[in-house]
Formats: sequence, structure tokens, C-alpha cells
Amino acid sequence: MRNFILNEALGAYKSAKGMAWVSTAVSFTLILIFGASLYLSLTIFGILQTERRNVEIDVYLKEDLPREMKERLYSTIQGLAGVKDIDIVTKEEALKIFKNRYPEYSDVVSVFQDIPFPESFVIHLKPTWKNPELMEHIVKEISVLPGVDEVYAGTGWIARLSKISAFFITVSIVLLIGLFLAISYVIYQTIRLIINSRRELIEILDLVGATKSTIEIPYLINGTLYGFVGGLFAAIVLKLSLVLVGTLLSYHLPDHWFIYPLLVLIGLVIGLIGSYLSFEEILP
Amino acid sequence: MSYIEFQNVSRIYQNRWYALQNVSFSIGKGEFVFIIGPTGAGKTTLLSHIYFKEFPTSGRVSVLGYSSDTISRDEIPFLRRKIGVIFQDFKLLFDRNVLKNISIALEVTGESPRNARRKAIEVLDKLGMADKAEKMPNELSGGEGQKVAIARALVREPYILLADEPTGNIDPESSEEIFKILKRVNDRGTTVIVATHNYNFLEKVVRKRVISLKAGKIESDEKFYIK
Repeated sequence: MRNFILNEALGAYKSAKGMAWVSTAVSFTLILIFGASLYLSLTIFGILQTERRNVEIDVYLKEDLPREMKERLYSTIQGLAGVKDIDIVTKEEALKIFKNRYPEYSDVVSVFQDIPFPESFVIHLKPTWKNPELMEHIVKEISVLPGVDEVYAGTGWIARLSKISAFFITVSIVLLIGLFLAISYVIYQTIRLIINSRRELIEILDLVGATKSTIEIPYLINGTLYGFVGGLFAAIVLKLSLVLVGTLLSYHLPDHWFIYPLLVLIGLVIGLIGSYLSFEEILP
Repeated sequence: MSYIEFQNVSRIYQNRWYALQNVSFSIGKGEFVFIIGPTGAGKTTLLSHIYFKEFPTSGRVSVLGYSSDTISRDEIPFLRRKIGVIFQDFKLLFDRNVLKNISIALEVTGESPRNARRKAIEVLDKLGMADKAEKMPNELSGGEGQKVAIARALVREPYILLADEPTGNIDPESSEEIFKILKRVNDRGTTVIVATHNYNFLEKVVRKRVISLKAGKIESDEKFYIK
């Protein structure tokens, strides 16, 4: 039986002639586009996650703030929802940080008599609060507190990155739906063509007592093969393209390894569904 | 023992045209039955009911313990494995050789390719066609093509052999040979049912039953045991 099914699946591939190539090529192209979009989404999402982890709110204090007021401010901020802990950065520490970060300008600050940097609190947030909307809310609360000169959270670019990430995720989902419909339609038509060209065989198999699954499986294998081969080539081409781009840019691109088996799996599932629908419609 | 039973079977197409009308009969083990009648009398429709390609609009067909009222789609293949069917146009597969055309009937039901091949050669040998095993269907004469179709039907050792106008597409000499084969099959205990409008062959079978159809109705049902 296994021999029969494999032979017939191969025979069906031959019957499809040019359509087999069309199905495979369409599957390959669309899955590759989806894979590229998914890769971009995941990469941006990854950057966003990393940046969110490092996100903090800098609260610059007014000059010459009395000690008690600083302590009261510290306690008030510590009591706000979403605040995990607070680091105090003194003027001296701020200068040290500046010199470390911008050594080429370290001479510039030495012309000042006093240290030109204000004292500040660096607020670390709880993980669930590290998103632009909630951070904005905390920033507003802190800004109005007495003794606070300025608050910086850098939420603007995180919000922009979030929007870009959401855009790519939406594109990926739309592509997934689109490619599902397009590939399954092409495979559906191919299998339809094959079944029509092999009606006599199917009629004879039915006559001699072959079960529906015995008749059906070769065509399901065939349709699945178009999707599988398309997905496999898409995964290989995507991987090679990323290696090439990484080499050309001399940059180590992040590797989302699970994309490749996912693309193959998507091709396989869509192929299976397309051929199943075709068989069920023509030979219910 | 009754292998086939038709009880008041009617088959209506497009709500108005009767292909079979109130047909009742039963056929037992080892009978040789001719279904005769002019073109359009309902012979093919009647045979189609026996292997459940078609179902009655009213009435009931029972075959080898399966009833048209209760048989499920999944059970039909198992019934068909007990019935051999041959047609006027042979229904051979032109993309594979004679041996493959026969062994396919066994392979699809789980027989190993080796066993299927051995059994196919045995049947071909019995029909005097062993030397044609590797030939392609388009290299065969009409009579040889029908013999291959018979071999495919017999390779499963069916309880019932249905032949729908088996000599319709072949020359008289080959037709005679086909009937001899059908008689031999029947002599071994297989129930043979032949639908034909070629009445010349009726006299060639001694023990036979003749069911005559006209416009979907049984006109006569006679048994002949003496020449």
C-alpha cells in the first residue's frame, strides 16, 4: 500500500507538468516575502524589548534643594505605582558619567567653577510599566512634584519604535492571511487539474475497493509537497540572504532560528489544506 | 443462499424518469444470470445498484449481507472487494502495463507488491495471457483488453462477477472466448451476471437465468437448466 501511495503521489506530480512548478514557485515566493516580513518584525520587536529593559526615567532636581526636601521627594517617588527602585546621582557622579561617556569633552567642563550638572534621581520601573503610555503617566506625576526641575524619559522614540513594530506585525499577519489564500488557491487548482487528468484511475480504484483515504492520500501528499518544497526553498533563500546581507554590512544580524522551520511548516500545512479542499470538492 | 436481493427497487432520475421501476428479484450463489433488454432498458443502472455505485430512490438492495438502507460510505469499498466488475470499454489504465493494471486491484487493498504481482501472473496464466504481462494496453487487441479487465476483476477471487456488455467492443471470435471464460468462472462457483443486448450468447450457456428488462421494469425472469 505504501508503495502504491508513493508511486501515485509521484505520478500525480508528473501529471501536473507545468502547474507543479507554478505551485511550487508561487509557494516559494509568497512564503519568502512572509518570512522576510516576519524577520523584520521580530528584529524590531527584539530591539524594542532590549530598549524597554534598559528604560529609565531621569529626574533632574532643582539647584540647592534642601536635604529634607530631597528625602521627601525620594519617598514620594518611591511610593508611586510602577516604580521599582531609585538611584541617586550626585553632581560628582554625574560629572564622572559625563567624562566616561564623552571623554573628548572632559576639558570643557573643567572651565566651570562648579559642577554644571544637576543632581538627579534615576528611576527604574517595574517590567510591566515599561511602555510609553504608562511611563508618560509617571512622568506627568513626577513633573509636578516640588523640587523637580526636569524629567526625561525618552518615551518618544520608544513609542515610534512600538508603532513600527506594530506595523510590521500587522503586515506579517495580513501577509500570512494573503499567502494562505493565494497558495492554497494555486495548490487547489493544481490538484483539481491533476484529479481531472486522472479521473479514470480514480474511478478504477473506487471500483476495485480502494478506500477513500487510499485514493486521496497521494493527492494530499502531492499538494503538501508543493507547499513544503516552496517553504523549504524560502527558508534556505532567506537564511542565505541574511548571511549575505550580514557579510556585506559587516554586522552580525540577529538570528531568529525558529523562522526557518516555521516557514517549512506553513508551506506544508497550506499545501495540505489546499489539496484537501480540492479533493473534497471534486470527489466528496 | 441469496447473494443479491432487490426488493421493489425504483430509481428515478430528475424526479420524473424511471430507470428502474419496482424491480424485485434475488440471485443466489453460483447462478449465471443474463440481464437482457434494449439500450436504455435499465441494465447498467441495475448493475450499478449491485456494487452500490447507485442507490435506489425507493425499495431496498441487499448484496452479500450489505443493505442499501444501512451501508455506510466507508463500508462500500469492502463490499466492492468481493465483487468484480467488467465493462464494455474495459477501463484499463494506459499509463501502466498489463501486470500493473491487474495488481493495482490488490495493492490498493493492502496486498504487498510481490504478492499482488504473483497473483496477477497466476490469473493471467489461467486466461492464457501470461505472455502479455509486460505489454501496454494500447498494444493489445480488443479481446485481449477485455481479458485483462476480467483478470483484474478475478484477481481478488470475487463472490460475484458483473459484466456490463462485455463483448460490445470486440470481434465475434474474441467474444466467444470471453463467454467461455465467464462460464469457467461460473463453474468454479462465482455468481456471474452479464448485462447484454447480444442475445446470440444466451444459447451458449446451458444453466442460466435470463431477466428481461424493458423501460426499467422486469418483463420476464426465467431459469433454463436443460438445453
